[in-house]
Amino acid sequence: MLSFLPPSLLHQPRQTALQVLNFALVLSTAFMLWKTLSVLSNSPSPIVVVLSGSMEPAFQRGDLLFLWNRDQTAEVGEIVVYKVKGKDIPIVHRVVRSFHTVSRNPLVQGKSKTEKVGAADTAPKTQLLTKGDNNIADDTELYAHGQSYLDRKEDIIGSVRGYVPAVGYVTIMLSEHPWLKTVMLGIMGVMVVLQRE
Amino acid sequence: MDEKPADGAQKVSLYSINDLKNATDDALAPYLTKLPFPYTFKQSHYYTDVRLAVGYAAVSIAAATFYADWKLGWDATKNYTTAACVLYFILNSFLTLWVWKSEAGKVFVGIREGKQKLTLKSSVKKHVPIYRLKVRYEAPSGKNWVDKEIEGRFSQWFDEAGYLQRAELKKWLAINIEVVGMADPQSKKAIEESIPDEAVQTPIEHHQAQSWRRRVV
Repeated sequence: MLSFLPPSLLHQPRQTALQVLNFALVLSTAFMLWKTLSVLSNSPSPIVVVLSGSMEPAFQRGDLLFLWNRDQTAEVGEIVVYKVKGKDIPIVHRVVRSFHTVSRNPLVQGKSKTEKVGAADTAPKTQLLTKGDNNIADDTELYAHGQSYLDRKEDIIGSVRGYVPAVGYVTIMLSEHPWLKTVMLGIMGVMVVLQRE
Repeated sequence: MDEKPADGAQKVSLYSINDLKNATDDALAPYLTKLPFPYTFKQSHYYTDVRLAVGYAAVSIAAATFYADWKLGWDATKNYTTAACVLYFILNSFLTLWVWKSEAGKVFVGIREGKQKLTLKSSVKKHVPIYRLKVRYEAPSGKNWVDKEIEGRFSQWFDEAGYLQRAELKKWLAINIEVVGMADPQSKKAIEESIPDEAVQTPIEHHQAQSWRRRVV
Protein backbone atom coordinates (compact mmCIF):
# COMPACT_ATOMS: atom_id res chain seq x y z
CA MET A 1 0.00 0.00 0.00
CA LEU A 2 2.67 2.46 1.05
CA SER A 3 5.40 0.70 -0.86
CA PHE A 4 6.45 3.87 -2.68
CA LEU A 5 7.80 5.19 0.60
CA PRO A 6 11.36 4.32 1.59
CA PRO A 7 11.29 1.27 3.90
CA SER A 8 13.14 3.23 6.57
CA LEU A 9 10.04 5.35 7.07
CA LEU A 10 8.00 2.40 8.22
CA HIS A 11 10.55 0.32 10.09
CA GLN A 12 12.80 2.87 11.78
CA PRO A 13 10.96 5.29 14.05
CA ARG A 14 14.09 7.37 14.66
CA GLN A 15 14.77 7.73 10.97
CA THR A 16 11.19 8.87 10.46
CA ALA A 17 11.40 11.28 13.40
CA LEU A 18 14.60 12.75 11.92
CA GLN A 19 13.01 13.28 8.53
CA VAL A 20 9.95 14.96 10.04
CA LEU A 21 12.33 17.05 12.18
CA ASN A 22 14.26 18.19 9.12
CA PHE A 23 11.05 19.42 7.53
CA ALA A 24 9.90 21.10 10.75
CA LEU A 25 13.30 22.81 11.10
CA VAL A 26 13.05 24.27 7.60
CA LEU A 27 9.68 25.82 8.44
CA SER A 28 10.55 26.94 11.97
CA THR A 29 13.88 28.45 10.92
CA ALA A 30 12.16 30.49 8.23
CA PHE A 31 9.58 31.67 10.77
CA MET A 32 12.16 32.49 13.45
CA LEU A 33 14.34 34.40 10.96
CA TRP A 34 11.29 36.47 10.13
CA LYS A 35 10.62 37.08 13.84
CA THR A 36 14.28 37.99 14.43
CA LEU A 37 14.03 40.55 11.66
CA SER A 38 10.86 41.83 13.36
CA VAL A 39 12.64 42.17 16.68
CA LEU A 40 15.64 43.92 15.11
CA SER A 41 13.57 46.42 13.13
CA ASN A 42 10.95 46.69 15.90
CA SER A 43 8.26 46.19 13.30
CA PRO A 44 5.51 43.54 13.34
CA SER A 45 6.06 43.02 9.65
CA PRO A 46 9.51 44.15 8.51
CA ILE A 47 9.07 43.16 4.85
CA VAL A 48 5.92 44.07 2.94
CA VAL A 49 4.75 43.84 -0.64
CA VAL A 50 3.17 46.80 -2.43
CA LEU A 51 -0.38 45.85 -3.39
CA SER A 52 -1.62 48.98 -5.14
CA GLY A 53 -0.39 51.54 -7.63
CA SER A 54 -1.05 54.51 -5.34
CA MET A 55 2.69 55.22 -4.94
CA GLU A 56 3.60 55.06 -8.62
CA PRO A 57 6.06 55.90 -10.04
CA ALA A 58 8.08 55.36 -6.84
CA PHE A 59 6.74 51.86 -6.18
CA GLN A 60 4.92 49.46 -8.47
CA ARG A 61 2.56 46.67 -7.53
CA GLY A 62 4.69 43.73 -6.43
CA ASP A 63 7.70 45.67 -5.13
CA LEU A 64 9.23 44.34 -1.92
CA LEU A 65 9.82 46.93 0.83
CA PHE A 66 12.13 46.71 3.85
CA LEU A 67 10.93 48.57 6.92
CA TRP A 68 12.63 50.08 9.96
CA ASN A 69 10.66 51.16 12.99
CA ARG A 70 13.14 52.36 15.60
CA ASP A 71 12.78 56.09 14.93
CA GLN A 72 10.58 58.21 17.18
CA THR A 73 9.64 60.71 14.48
CA ALA A 74 8.96 60.79 10.76
CA GLU A 75 9.86 63.70 8.50
CA VAL A 76 7.98 65.12 5.53
CA GLY A 77 8.99 63.21 2.39
CA GLU A 78 9.59 59.95 4.23
CA ILE A 79 7.63 56.96 3.00
CA VAL A 80 5.91 55.06 5.80
CA VAL A 81 3.74 51.97 6.09
CA TYR A 82 0.78 52.36 8.41
CA LYS A 83 -2.05 50.21 9.57
CA VAL A 84 -5.27 51.85 10.62
CA LYS A 85 -7.04 50.28 13.56
CA GLY A 86 -9.89 48.08 12.39
CA LYS A 87 -8.44 47.62 8.91
CA ASP A 88 -6.35 44.61 7.99
CA ILE A 89 -4.28 45.76 5.07
CA PRO A 90 -1.28 48.04 5.69
CA ILE A 91 -0.85 51.01 3.39
CA VAL A 92 2.41 52.52 2.11
CA HIS A 93 2.25 56.28 1.51
CA ARG A 94 4.41 59.38 1.83
CA VAL A 95 4.39 61.78 4.79
CA VAL A 96 3.22 65.25 3.71
CA ARG A 97 2.77 66.89 7.12
CA SER A 98 4.54 66.14 10.38
CA PHE A 99 3.85 67.69 13.77
CA HIS A 100 6.15 66.96 16.60
CA THR A 101 4.76 67.82 20.00
CA VAL A 102 7.20 67.79 22.88
CA SER A 103 5.88 67.78 26.41
CA ARG A 104 2.85 70.09 26.57
CA ASN A 105 3.36 70.98 30.15
CA PRO A 106 6.49 73.05 30.82
CA LEU A 107 6.33 72.12 34.48
CA VAL A 108 7.33 68.55 33.72
CA GLN A 109 10.68 69.70 32.43
CA GLY A 110 11.09 71.89 35.54
CA LYS A 111 11.32 70.36 38.97
CA SER A 112 7.84 71.08 40.25
CA LYS A 113 6.17 67.98 41.51
CA THR A 114 3.08 69.66 42.74
CA GLU A 115 1.18 69.35 39.50
CA LYS A 116 0.23 65.87 38.45
CA VAL A 117 0.26 65.25 34.75
CA GLY A 118 -1.09 62.27 32.81
CA ALA A 119 1.44 60.18 30.91
CA ALA A 120 -0.40 60.78 27.65
CA ASP A 121 0.22 64.51 27.94
CA THR A 122 3.89 64.24 28.77
CA ALA A 123 5.05 61.73 26.13
CA PRO A 124 6.44 63.36 23.01
CA LYS A 125 4.06 62.70 20.17
CA THR A 126 4.42 62.86 16.43
CA GLN A 127 1.35 63.32 14.30
CA LEU A 128 1.48 62.63 10.58
CA LEU A 129 -0.57 63.24 7.50
CA THR A 130 0.11 60.97 4.54
CA LYS A 131 -0.72 60.89 0.84
CA GLY A 132 -0.12 58.49 -2.03
CA ASP A 133 2.10 60.02 -4.73
CA ASN A 134 -0.34 58.83 -7.38
CA ASN A 135 -3.48 59.89 -5.48
CA ILE A 136 -5.23 63.22 -5.90
CA ALA A 137 -6.20 63.74 -2.27
CA ASP A 138 -4.49 63.06 1.04
CA ASP A 139 -5.31 60.04 3.17
CA THR A 140 -7.84 61.42 5.67
CA GLU A 141 -10.49 59.38 3.86
CA LEU A 142 -8.52 56.19 4.53
CA TYR A 143 -8.04 56.73 8.26
CA ALA A 144 -10.44 55.38 10.86
CA HIS A 145 -13.73 57.21 11.33
CA GLY A 146 -13.09 60.56 12.96
CA GLN A 147 -9.29 60.24 12.71
CA SER A 148 -7.59 63.10 10.93
CA TYR A 149 -3.92 62.23 11.48
CA LEU A 150 -1.71 59.21 12.17
CA ASP A 151 0.09 58.69 15.43
CA ARG A 152 3.76 57.79 14.80
CA LYS A 153 3.88 55.35 17.69
CA GLU A 154 0.46 53.79 17.40
CA ASP A 155 -0.25 53.49 13.71
CA ILE A 156 3.07 53.25 11.88
CA ILE A 157 4.55 49.79 11.17
CA GLY A 158 7.79 51.21 9.84
CA SER A 159 9.39 53.54 7.37
CA VAL A 160 10.74 52.27 4.08
CA ARG A 161 14.53 51.87 4.04
CA GLY A 162 15.04 49.72 0.97
CA TYR A 163 13.19 47.95 -1.79
CA VAL A 164 13.51 45.25 -4.39
CA PRO A 165 11.38 45.75 -7.49
CA ALA A 166 8.86 43.14 -8.66
CA VAL A 167 9.96 40.05 -6.69
CA GLY A 168 6.97 40.36 -4.35
CA TYR A 169 4.64 39.64 -7.24
CA VAL A 170 4.85 35.94 -6.33
CA THR A 171 3.03 36.64 -3.08
CA ILE A 172 0.35 38.63 -4.89
CA MET A 173 -0.16 35.60 -7.12
CA LEU A 174 -0.32 33.33 -4.08
CA SER A 175 -2.86 35.49 -2.27
CA GLU A 176 -5.03 35.94 -5.34
CA HIS A 177 -4.96 32.21 -6.13
CA PRO A 178 -4.93 30.55 -2.69
CA TRP A 179 -4.82 26.99 -4.10
CA LEU A 180 -1.24 27.71 -5.26
CA LYS A 181 -0.22 27.90 -1.60
CA THR A 182 -1.56 24.43 -0.87
CA VAL A 183 0.15 23.02 -3.93
CA MET A 184 3.50 24.61 -3.03
CA LEU A 185 3.41 23.50 0.60
CA GLY A 186 2.43 19.99 -0.43
CA ILE A 187 5.28 19.66 -2.92
CA MET A 188 7.78 20.98 -0.35
CA GLY A 189 6.57 18.57 2.31
CA VAL A 190 6.68 15.51 0.09
CA MET A 191 10.18 16.37 -1.17
CA VAL A 192 11.65 16.87 2.28
CA VAL A 193 10.14 13.63 3.61
CA LEU A 194 11.26 11.55 0.65
CA GLN A 195 14.84 12.72 0.34
CA ARG A 196 17.55 12.28 2.91
CA GLU A 197 19.84 15.14 3.90
CA MET B 1 20.77 -11.73 -11.94
CA ASP B 2 17.58 -9.73 -11.83
CA GLU B 3 15.82 -11.67 -9.14
CA LYS B 4 14.50 -9.82 -6.12
CA PRO B 5 15.96 -10.90 -2.81
CA ALA B 6 13.58 -12.30 -0.22
CA ASP B 7 14.53 -9.79 2.48
CA GLY B 8 12.49 -7.09 0.73
CA ALA B 9 15.54 -4.98 -0.07
CA GLN B 10 14.90 -1.98 -2.27
CA LYS B 11 16.51 -1.62 -5.62
CA VAL B 12 19.13 1.11 -5.52
CA SER B 13 20.25 3.21 -8.44
CA LEU B 14 23.82 2.17 -9.09
CA TYR B 15 24.59 5.62 -10.42
CA SER B 16 23.69 7.43 -7.22
CA ILE B 17 26.60 7.24 -4.80
CA ASN B 18 24.44 8.76 -2.09
CA ASP B 19 21.73 6.09 -2.45
CA LEU B 20 24.37 3.34 -2.38
CA LYS B 21 25.85 4.80 0.78
CA ASN B 22 22.46 5.15 2.48
CA ALA B 23 21.48 1.58 1.63
CA THR B 24 24.80 0.30 2.94
CA ASP B 25 24.55 2.41 6.12
CA ASP B 26 21.08 1.03 6.77
CA ALA B 27 22.29 -2.55 6.41
CA LEU B 28 24.99 -2.25 9.09
CA ALA B 29 22.84 -2.13 12.22
CA PRO B 30 20.58 -5.13 11.37
CA TYR B 31 23.70 -7.26 10.85
CA LEU B 32 25.78 -6.11 13.80
CA THR B 33 22.90 -6.32 16.29
CA LYS B 34 22.15 -9.92 15.29
CA LEU B 35 25.60 -11.45 15.67
CA PRO B 36 25.76 -14.56 17.91
CA PHE B 37 25.69 -14.02 21.66
CA PRO B 38 28.96 -12.76 23.11
CA TYR B 39 29.45 -10.59 20.07
CA THR B 40 25.96 -9.13 19.80
CA PHE B 41 26.17 -5.34 19.66
CA LYS B 42 23.44 -3.39 21.35
CA GLN B 43 22.91 -0.30 19.27
CA SER B 44 23.33 3.00 21.09
CA HIS B 45 21.07 5.78 19.81
CA TYR B 46 22.68 8.45 21.98
CA TYR B 47 23.74 10.80 19.18
CA THR B 48 20.42 10.54 17.35
CA ASP B 49 18.44 11.01 20.56
CA VAL B 50 20.30 14.17 21.52
CA ARG B 51 19.73 15.50 18.02
CA LEU B 52 16.03 14.69 18.18
CA ALA B 53 15.61 16.21 21.65
CA VAL B 54 17.38 19.48 20.82
CA GLY B 55 15.73 19.69 17.40
CA TYR B 56 12.21 19.19 18.67
CA ALA B 57 12.86 21.60 21.56
CA ALA B 58 13.79 24.27 19.00
CA VAL B 59 10.74 23.46 16.89
CA SER B 60 8.44 23.70 19.92
CA ILE B 61 9.84 27.13 20.78
CA ALA B 62 9.04 28.27 17.26
CA ALA B 63 5.58 26.72 17.47
CA ALA B 64 4.87 28.41 20.82
CA THR B 65 6.04 31.74 19.40
CA PHE B 66 3.79 31.27 16.40
CA TYR B 67 0.79 30.47 18.59
CA ALA B 68 1.42 33.38 20.98
CA ASP B 69 1.87 35.78 18.09
CA TRP B 70 -1.33 34.57 16.47
CA LYS B 71 -3.40 34.75 19.68
CA LEU B 72 -1.98 37.85 21.39
CA GLY B 73 -0.42 39.93 18.64
CA TRP B 74 2.96 41.56 18.20
CA ASP B 75 2.94 44.22 20.93
CA ALA B 76 1.96 41.92 23.77
CA THR B 77 4.52 39.26 22.86
CA LYS B 78 7.48 41.45 21.86
CA ASN B 79 9.69 40.62 24.84
CA TYR B 80 8.86 36.96 24.73
CA THR B 81 9.57 36.86 20.99
CA THR B 82 13.00 38.46 21.51
CA ALA B 83 13.93 35.82 24.07
CA ALA B 84 12.52 33.04 21.89
CA CYS B 85 14.57 34.16 18.87
CA VAL B 86 17.81 34.19 20.88
CA LEU B 87 17.07 30.77 22.40
CA TYR B 88 16.01 29.30 19.07
CA PHE B 89 19.23 30.26 17.34
CA ILE B 90 21.35 29.07 20.24
CA LEU B 91 19.67 25.65 20.02
CA ASN B 92 20.00 25.66 16.26
CA SER B 93 23.72 26.45 16.40
CA PHE B 94 24.20 23.70 18.96
CA LEU B 95 22.35 21.30 16.66
CA THR B 96 24.53 22.23 13.69
CA LEU B 97 27.70 21.74 15.75
CA TRP B 98 26.38 18.46 17.14
CA VAL B 99 25.63 16.99 13.72
CA TRP B 100 28.89 18.31 12.30
CA LYS B 101 31.36 17.65 15.14
CA SER B 102 29.85 14.96 17.38
CA GLU B 103 27.71 12.86 15.09
CA ALA B 104 30.14 13.45 12.23
CA GLY B 105 28.84 10.65 10.03
CA LYS B 106 28.50 8.01 12.75
CA VAL B 107 26.24 5.36 11.25
CA PHE B 108 26.56 2.78 13.98
CA VAL B 109 27.50 2.90 17.63
CA GLY B 110 27.15 -0.41 19.42
CA ILE B 111 28.18 -1.84 22.75
CA ARG B 112 28.68 -5.57 23.26
CA GLU B 113 28.99 -7.89 26.24
CA GLY B 114 31.87 -6.60 28.31
CA LYS B 115 31.21 -2.94 27.42
CA GLN B 116 33.42 -2.89 24.37
CA LYS B 117 32.24 -0.20 22.01
CA LEU B 118 32.25 -0.29 18.22
CA THR B 119 31.86 2.98 16.35
CA LEU B 120 31.47 3.12 12.58
CA LYS B 121 31.61 6.34 10.60
CA SER B 122 30.92 6.16 6.91
CA SER B 123 31.73 8.60 4.14
CA VAL B 124 31.98 8.77 0.39
CA LYS B 125 33.74 11.16 -1.95
CA LYS B 126 31.67 12.77 -4.66
CA HIS B 127 31.47 10.63 -7.80
CA VAL B 128 33.83 7.98 -6.42
CA PRO B 129 32.04 4.63 -5.86
CA ILE B 130 34.09 3.70 -2.82
CA TYR B 131 32.64 3.26 0.64
CA ARG B 132 34.92 4.46 3.43
CA LEU B 133 34.30 3.19 6.91
CA LYS B 134 36.15 4.50 9.94
CA VAL B 135 36.23 1.71 12.45
CA ARG B 136 36.89 2.32 16.10
CA TYR B 137 36.78 -0.45 18.67
CA GLU B 138 37.17 0.72 22.23
CA ALA B 139 37.88 -1.03 25.51
CA PRO B 140 35.64 -0.13 28.45
CA SER B 141 38.58 1.92 29.75
CA GLY B 142 38.36 4.11 26.66
CA LYS B 143 41.52 2.69 25.13
CA ASN B 144 41.35 2.26 21.36
CA TRP B 145 41.97 -1.28 20.30
CA VAL B 146 41.23 -0.60 16.69
CA ASP B 147 41.16 2.76 14.98
CA LYS B 148 41.44 2.45 11.24
CA GLU B 149 39.76 3.33 8.00
CA ILE B 150 38.69 0.60 5.60
CA GLU B 151 37.52 1.00 2.04
CA GLY B 152 35.35 -1.14 -0.16
CA ARG B 153 33.92 -0.75 -3.63
CA PHE B 154 30.15 -0.70 -3.78
CA SER B 155 30.33 -3.26 -6.57
CA GLN B 156 31.53 -5.74 -3.95
CA TRP B 157 28.09 -5.92 -2.34
CA PHE B 158 25.65 -4.59 -4.93
CA ASP B 159 24.73 -6.78 -7.88
CA GLU B 160 24.44 -5.34 -11.35
CA ALA B 161 20.69 -4.84 -10.93
CA GLY B 162 21.18 -2.68 -7.86
CA TYR B 163 20.18 -5.08 -5.08
CA LEU B 164 22.26 -5.20 -1.94
CA GLN B 165 23.84 -8.65 -1.46
CA ARG B 166 23.85 -8.88 2.32
CA ALA B 167 26.09 -11.92 2.38
CA GLU B 168 28.78 -10.09 0.43
CA LEU B 169 28.59 -7.06 2.69
CA LYS B 170 28.87 -9.36 5.72
CA LYS B 171 31.96 -10.95 4.22
CA TRP B 172 33.56 -7.57 3.66
CA LEU B 173 32.85 -6.52 7.25
CA ALA B 174 33.98 -9.87 8.70
CA ILE B 175 37.28 -9.74 6.83
CA ASN B 176 38.07 -6.14 7.71
CA ILE B 177 36.79 -5.81 11.25
CA GLU B 178 38.42 -8.34 13.53
CA VAL B 179 35.66 -8.57 16.13
CA VAL B 180 33.03 -9.12 13.44
CA GLY B 181 35.19 -11.80 11.88
CA MET B 182 35.38 -13.57 15.22
CA ALA B 183 31.61 -13.36 15.60
CA ASP B 184 30.88 -14.56 12.09
CA PRO B 185 33.69 -16.95 11.15
CA GLN B 186 31.65 -18.40 8.28
CA SER B 187 31.55 -15.10 6.42
CA LYS B 188 35.23 -14.61 7.04
CA LYS B 189 36.17 -18.13 5.97
CA ALA B 190 34.12 -17.98 2.81
CA ILE B 191 36.27 -15.19 1.51
CA GLU B 192 39.60 -16.48 2.71
CA GLU B 193 39.00 -19.75 0.88
CA SER B 194 38.20 -17.99 -2.33
CA ILE B 195 41.48 -16.10 -2.30
CA PRO B 196 44.24 -18.20 -3.87
CA ASP B 197 47.06 -18.27 -1.39
CA GLU B 198 50.31 -18.15 -3.28
CA ALA B 199 52.58 -17.98 -0.28
CA VAL B 200 51.83 -21.52 0.85
CA GLN B 201 52.76 -24.43 -1.35
CA THR B 202 51.30 -27.86 -0.90
CA PRO B 203 53.83 -30.54 0.08
CA ILE B 204 53.45 -32.28 -3.27
CA GLU B 205 54.28 -29.19 -5.27
CA HIS B 206 57.22 -28.57 -3.00
CA HIS B 207 58.49 -32.06 -3.62
CA GLN B 208 58.08 -31.72 -7.36
CA ALA B 209 59.96 -28.45 -7.40
CA GLN B 210 62.86 -30.06 -5.57
CA SER B 211 63.10 -33.03 -7.86
CA TRP B 212 62.95 -30.80 -10.90
CA ARG B 213 65.81 -28.75 -9.59
CA ARG B 214 67.88 -31.79 -8.86
CA ARG B 215 67.57 -32.95 -12.39
CA VAL B 216 68.91 -29.70 -13.79
CA VAL B 217 71.90 -29.74 -11.48
